[in-house]
Amino acid sequence: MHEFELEYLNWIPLLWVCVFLIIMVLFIIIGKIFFRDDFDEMSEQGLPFYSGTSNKMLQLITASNLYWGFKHTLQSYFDSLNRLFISNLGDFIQWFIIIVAIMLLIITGALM
Amino acid sequence: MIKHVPVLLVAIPLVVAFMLPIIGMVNRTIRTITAGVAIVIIMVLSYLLIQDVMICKKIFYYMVGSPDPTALFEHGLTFPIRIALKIDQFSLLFIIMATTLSFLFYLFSSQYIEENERKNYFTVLYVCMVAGMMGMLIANDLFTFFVFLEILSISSSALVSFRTERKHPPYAGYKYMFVSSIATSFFLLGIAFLYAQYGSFNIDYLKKVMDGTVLDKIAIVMLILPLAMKCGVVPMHMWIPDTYSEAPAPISSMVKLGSLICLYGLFRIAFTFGSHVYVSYELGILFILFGVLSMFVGVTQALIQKDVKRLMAFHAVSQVGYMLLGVGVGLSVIKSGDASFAIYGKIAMIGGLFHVINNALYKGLLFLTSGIMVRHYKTRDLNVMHGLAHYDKFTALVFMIAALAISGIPPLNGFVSKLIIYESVFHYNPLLTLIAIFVSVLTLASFMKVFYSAFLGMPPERKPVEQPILVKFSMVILSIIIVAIGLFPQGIIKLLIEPAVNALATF
Repeated sequence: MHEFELEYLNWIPLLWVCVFLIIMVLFIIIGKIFFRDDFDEMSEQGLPFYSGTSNKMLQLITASNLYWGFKHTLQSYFDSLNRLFISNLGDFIQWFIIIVAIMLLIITGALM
Repeated sequence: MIKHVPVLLVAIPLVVAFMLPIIGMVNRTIRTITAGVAIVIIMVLSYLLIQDVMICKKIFYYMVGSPDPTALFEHGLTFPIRIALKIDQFSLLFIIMATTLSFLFYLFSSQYIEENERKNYFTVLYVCMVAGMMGMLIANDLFTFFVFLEILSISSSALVSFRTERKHPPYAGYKYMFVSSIATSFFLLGIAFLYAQYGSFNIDYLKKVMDGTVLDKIAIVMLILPLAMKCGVVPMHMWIPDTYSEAPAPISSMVKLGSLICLYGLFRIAFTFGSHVYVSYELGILFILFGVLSMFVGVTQALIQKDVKRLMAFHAVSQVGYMLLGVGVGLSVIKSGDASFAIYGKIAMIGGLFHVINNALYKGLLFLTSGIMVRHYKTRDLNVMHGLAHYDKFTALVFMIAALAISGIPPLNGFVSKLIIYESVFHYNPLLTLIAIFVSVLTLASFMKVFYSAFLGMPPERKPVEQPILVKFSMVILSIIIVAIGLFPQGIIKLLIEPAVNALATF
């Protein structure tokens, strides 16, 4: 068997599980020793803290709010994608024909 | 009996599909059980072949209508227009995947789709879809492949139009039918080019006699591109979000499975004919380009979606990119003449095919969980969803397993196949590995958004309805398989993937 083949076959996922379990046990032990013992989840301490508004629905950060920076930075990229693929049925034919033409040029060697 | 398995894999679902409307008129419960039993039988039959095909390397041929159908007519010269079937290691891998997942999705849909007079149509079309997949997987002649591709397409588009949470699924079904019609028309044109030259549809025979004419190469393009379109390869992908998002959840999973079966056809034709007419390098490069494009465009589009099913559909596009990348690298170096294929090309193909199996599992599970979310919130808008995990910890858990698997987090199955792809593709071009890892990071970000939006936050206004037992059971089994493959990948690679890659490489 080739050396490179052995690399991926040597993957031992159970080791990951053991490491994960050990970290969890350590976390629990450290938590028991160092975490505050006056914490009561059922009291006010357990409630989430919201600032800015008392309207509960407005306290949610919705899906559209997430990654706004990413979206904003790549706005021109998304605009061009939207222009290219407006999902009309005619679009499907158009792109299919374009790709057929490109592939025919490459595969038949017409570009050589 | 086992020698007749090739024909039984197609005949059983086809015959049962014709019987189901009559059984449904008599008793709906018996109809549901009959369809389930038919799928179980073909699943068991496919497992029975593992010993012969995967371990003993036996190939099953079947010539329907011949006095001795199991006699070896691999050249197909005697009867050029007969239905030729063949099961080898590569097709068996996909048969096992298709039967197992069809069964699990059927379990889910048997209780998820509400029982009424229309469910007769649903069950019939579902079994037809399974028959279409089986036919495509075991067809050894191009025309039979085309016929079953049509059966799959027609039944899929009808099921996409089946009643869903929103009011415009018929348009999505029509769109799918339109795309399928374009694809199959070009596919038929490709078949005609080959038949006009060589007078046969038989794949093995065509491989032997093709001499690399320009018409051969045009035919290969005509055969490959329609299948690429059905897989949702960028830039021919826009039907995927429109279709997957409108279909009922188990049908989204099944249509996704159907597109992976088209990927089977794509790989089979590329390796069988491409290598033979000396275009394997060009095809491999094109696969890599399409793969990278699909990965990047799919994941960036997914990240900005607020419709949960459209988001998952864009990820379906992105994941096909990984498979094309892995197999494309293998295809591009298969005829290089140096040690490239032995060093990394074969491993890349193993990664690519392994990713097909893994993707079918976690993508199917993700679509199923999206069905539960959408049914609870009556919308697909992630902005409206919040806090489902407060009441439905089960769905939250299985969603998390599938989301972590698709993001390539260890020790789940997606990680293993992605790792194999990263390692092997790195030898070919490190930049490709970097892109693949970057896409994986964006995938994780995207599913964090879904988990945060749908499952975390304030509890929903009303408690979700308890899911039926079969709905939960199917999702549990899928989750167990995902974790088990992640923990013990060597077994499945040795038993199923490696023989399939060897068969594909020697086509």
